Amino acid sequence: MILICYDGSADAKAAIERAGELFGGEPATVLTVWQPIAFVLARSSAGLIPIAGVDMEDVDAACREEAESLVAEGTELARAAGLDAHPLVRAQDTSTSEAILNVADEARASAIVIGSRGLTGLKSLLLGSVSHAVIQHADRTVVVVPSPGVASSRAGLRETAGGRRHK
Amino acid sequence: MFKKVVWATDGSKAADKALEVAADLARESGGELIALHCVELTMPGKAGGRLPVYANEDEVVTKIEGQLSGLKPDGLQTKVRVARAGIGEAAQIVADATVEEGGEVIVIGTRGRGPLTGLLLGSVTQRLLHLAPCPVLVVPTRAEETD
Repeated sequence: MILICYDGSADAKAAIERAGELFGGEPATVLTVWQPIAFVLARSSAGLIPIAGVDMEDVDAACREEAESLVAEGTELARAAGLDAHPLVRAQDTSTSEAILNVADEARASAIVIGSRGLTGLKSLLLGSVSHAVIQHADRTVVVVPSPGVASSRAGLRETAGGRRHK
Repeated sequence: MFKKVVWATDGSKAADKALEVAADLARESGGELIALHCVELTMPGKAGGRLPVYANEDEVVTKIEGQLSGLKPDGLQTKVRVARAGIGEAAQIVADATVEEGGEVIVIGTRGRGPLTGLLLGSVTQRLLHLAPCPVLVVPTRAEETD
């Protein structure tokens, strides 16, 4: 079973397509991890103090719903790419990468497929923090997929630069 | 299906593990397996000469050639490319060669034979993820499996 990480980004979409090419016909889980507000707040200076007038449960319900529609989109893409895909939504508990690795362990995934960057992709960040953390700690094959735009610009750079020759 | 599979190797056990995955991929698609090895060189000396950092480079190349010919009975098309570059340039070499060969996927270990084996992720693999023009399959190595 292949575990495909999906966050709706261009890299994630490319990851699904490449997964289809690599593992066509195989069972796949499309995973979207969402962040409960407690974790967002825990990182802020306000700590876990609830924001006045905001019901944390409502915010979490909305985030979870968002994750569910995202994973549905990813699952449809995966099926179109020829995978026997099923959706899974998971709340992160310590970090997104940890959630991914835990799901991979629990499901005994044979491989994890992930985009190289995600949504928080500052264009200067060539490799996202989640994919980096997943590779560092995974004990199974990880397929890191760049988006088509990034891939072709990297391939193109090489051809125009010309002078990169090493003795 | 990936017709051209690039296997980046430094002759280490980690790279051998990556070969298992690379060979499977190439076999499935009936494509070609391209082994890529980068000989790392020291900075030029007074006379301008550069030496390989690792003394056993001949053995490494022989080993790689042996590994590929071991795959011939499976009917796999194979090719070996050996490049020479300065320390720290290996990742760029792998990326460039992949573009030149029309490689569609790169298979590499998490670590190699580098000295800092305490690191979770080797520097070449890490840099390669910033430079690769295609998907990179990172095959894990447990600490006890490194050279």
